[in-house]
Amino acid sequence: MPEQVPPTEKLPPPGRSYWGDAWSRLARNRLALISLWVLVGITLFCVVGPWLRGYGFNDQDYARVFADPSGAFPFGTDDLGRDQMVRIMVGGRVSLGIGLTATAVTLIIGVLYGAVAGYAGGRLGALMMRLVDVLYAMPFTIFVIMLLTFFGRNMWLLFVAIGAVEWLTMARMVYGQVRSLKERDFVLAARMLGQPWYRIVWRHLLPNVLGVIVVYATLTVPSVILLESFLSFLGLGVQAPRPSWGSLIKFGADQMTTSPHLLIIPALFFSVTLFCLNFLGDGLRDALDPQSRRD
Amino acid sequence: MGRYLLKRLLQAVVVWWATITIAFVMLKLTPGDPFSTERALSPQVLAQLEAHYGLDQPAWVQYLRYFEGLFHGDFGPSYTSTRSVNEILGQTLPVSLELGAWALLVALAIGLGAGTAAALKHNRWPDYTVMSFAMLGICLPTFVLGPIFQLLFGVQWRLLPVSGWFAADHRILPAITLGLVYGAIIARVTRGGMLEVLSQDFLKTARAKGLPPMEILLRHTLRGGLLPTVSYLGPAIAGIVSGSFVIETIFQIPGLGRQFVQAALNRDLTLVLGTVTVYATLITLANLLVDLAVAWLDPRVRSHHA
Amino acid sequence: MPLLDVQGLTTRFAMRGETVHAVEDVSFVLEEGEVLGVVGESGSGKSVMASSLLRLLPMPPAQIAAGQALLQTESGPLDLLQLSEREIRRVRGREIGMIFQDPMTSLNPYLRLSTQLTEGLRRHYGLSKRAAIEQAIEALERVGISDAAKRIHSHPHEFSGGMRQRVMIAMMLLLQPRLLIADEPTTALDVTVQRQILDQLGALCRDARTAVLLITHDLGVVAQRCHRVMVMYAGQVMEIGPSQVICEAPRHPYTQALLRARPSASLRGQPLYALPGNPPDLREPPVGDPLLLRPGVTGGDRWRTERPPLEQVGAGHWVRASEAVLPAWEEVRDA
Repeated sequence: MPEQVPPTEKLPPPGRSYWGDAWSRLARNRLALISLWVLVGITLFCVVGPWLRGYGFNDQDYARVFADPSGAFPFGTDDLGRDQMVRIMVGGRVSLGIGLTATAVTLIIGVLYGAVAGYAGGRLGALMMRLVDVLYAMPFTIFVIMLLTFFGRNMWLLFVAIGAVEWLTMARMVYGQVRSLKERDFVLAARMLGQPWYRIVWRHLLPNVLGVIVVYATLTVPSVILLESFLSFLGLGVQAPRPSWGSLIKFGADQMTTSPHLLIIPALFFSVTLFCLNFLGDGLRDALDPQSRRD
Repeated sequence: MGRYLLKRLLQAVVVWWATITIAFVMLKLTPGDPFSTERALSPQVLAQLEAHYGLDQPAWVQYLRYFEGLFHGDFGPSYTSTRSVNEILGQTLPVSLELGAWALLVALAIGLGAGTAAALKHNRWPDYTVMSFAMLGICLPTFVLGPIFQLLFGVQWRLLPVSGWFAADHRILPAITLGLVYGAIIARVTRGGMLEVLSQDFLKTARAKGLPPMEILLRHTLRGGLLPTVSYLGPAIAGIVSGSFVIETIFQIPGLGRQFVQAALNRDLTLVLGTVTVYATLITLANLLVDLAVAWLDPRVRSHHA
Repeated sequence: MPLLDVQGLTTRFAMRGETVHAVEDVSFVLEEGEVLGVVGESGSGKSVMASSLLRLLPMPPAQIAAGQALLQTESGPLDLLQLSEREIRRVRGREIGMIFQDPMTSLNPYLRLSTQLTEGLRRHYGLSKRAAIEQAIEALERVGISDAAKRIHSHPHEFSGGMRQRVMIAMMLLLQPRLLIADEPTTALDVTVQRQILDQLGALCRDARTAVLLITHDLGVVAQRCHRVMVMYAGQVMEIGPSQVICEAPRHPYTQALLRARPSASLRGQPLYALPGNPPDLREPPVGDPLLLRPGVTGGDRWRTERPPLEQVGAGHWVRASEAVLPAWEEVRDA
């Protein structure tokens, strides 16, 4: 009921940019900030850690299989006597790496497709989005599983498969945003002034769509990591001896009666990472897209 | 309304057909033949086998024959089992359907209740509690939650069985594990939908008419507020299907999900195709039902798409 | 005894540790069948004042800090501000109806008109479904909706904005309230239908002897259709009196500014006057004359630190004292 509540919001002080504004909103969101720092910590741990650790992820030693956590092996060892800590680090590299690269793939496909459909509009745009609707209704996880079992389990295929699943949401978001922006007065005005289309896209559309893209890219990373781990858990993702968080969790699940820490520690890393990415994404949404806020 | 339904039906048929076709094409593109995975076969035996399974025909004939079989309810023979695909599906599908139904029930019970409560107590402690647990649920996917539940309820406290599908108590852990994630998402979606409606002017009109809060909630708020939740049921059911792959593996349930993963790993192509067909049918039907429900709830959808 | 007697109504919003003084010490009376116009810019507190009477504001953050609002009913006078939640529900719709600004959003898009039109009748009068539908059809016909018996079963989106506002009017008058609050009922509509709807509303209320509190920012509406006018600014009453007197000889400088902002035949060819700036930020309630906070307004030092009183200047005509001098036409145009 906008009419009832008297106008109390002061105008923002002049000279503050959209991004500056967004940053200050994000900085006030304590959960999102903590998440950001935890993510930085986990990333450093996974990226730098293996160099400092002194064990390779496939250094086997049958003299120390299934060691419990101790000073030398803080996370214990596995059935081949490999250091679980370095395996979690390397697994994290894989999970985070796939999360980022596959998200980049979704970004490129989704943004291009959505922007073209949105800018073209009309029949073509509607047709393109109808195709997205059809694809959306398909059981993609099933295709991915078939793809990986029949055509070999390589990383490249994994990227393509995950990217193909996840670009749909991005395309829808960008399409919707571009469509609504195109009808806005400031874009109409720019067109009326005879500005060329690339200038309109660059100066007016892109900066306004960028917020949404950043938000949904951040939220795509956890769902990509989730999908990769899901596949790895089923034995279809990254192949042994190379670990990923999903395959470590699967391994831990098989050993949980005797060595529960083999399940709990990788599960913790995985869930905390998802947690932080989701909180950060929510925080970014509140900061970059205040209109979508529900509180 | 009629035209809207027709459109939706058409789209459903397209999705169903396209899914099966893509699966078929993928199977045909699979390198190697399905029989030589383990032992080398003599050319004569191979030719006999191919003739037996109709693989000596051109691909389009096989494609048409598959659909012809489908319309007679015949999914063909399995490559790796002596049983027919029909038999295998007949044994495993009911198990997965039951698991899925329980999981959906768990998800709806948790999600609807928690989401509505959170929206009605917006920005107060019930809201924060529900949203925190929902976030927790989303970040603990089935393959993390399942083993942890097994560890706690099965190994530590010895309360519930952790594998198999025999008695009623075998249903509890798998159904809850599979339902919880979707319960969390449904809670978030429901809360969002309810908050959206709660800010609408027409609720002020209803209050200005002197209606009591319960009547306003039941008649004016829930209908629109639950629309996003109903729409989400389509993706939720698809998600429960793929979740069942993991859950049935973890809890060793003899269902279709585990069968599908096994069949894919064993390269039992006809069984894979049969499973995909069943899933395509299931998901298409679910989406169609959801579309119908949305159209019934929201009169604007009916006329705008007409 | 007047139908409604409001004394010292004060409504505040507590937001993020700050208090917004939205309505400050508003008093007025309304006789049976009388039409009182409430005029002021957006943010002057008119809507909050009206919603306070029916207690439709979300509480918290809103809070009715002081005042009383006595409504005459068959069972004697009731103080609207003191009633329990259950009691005020019996007043809403039954004794006081309310129509809102935007008919596109004030009807429930998911429900048929038949449901929305009859639920009040069934609640307040205990009518059967069939009897309620019959009455609702008649009410729709009275507001000029043809083929009502059939169209009552359609959904709001099948009607235009003007039609929807007619449905709102029918819906509220159906409950035979003694007072109808119309909160800018035509602001969101096309100019061509605004007049028709206001005429219809006026005629229907006249016939039923329903009093009307007509909230508007358009003084033109007020002059023709209201018996009396109340001008609000910064949550306070600036001037109240017979509409003819106020429209011909406004006393308060703010009323004068509003009048000069209207297009009229006698001033043809001259630029319109517009008071620069916005109504003041009500987080800090103005201590003195609120008009002095407006940019360009000069003078009036007598009321800089003390709230000016309402003074009677004629029969039923009260004006808040002010020595503010409005910026001249030329200054406004150049600004």
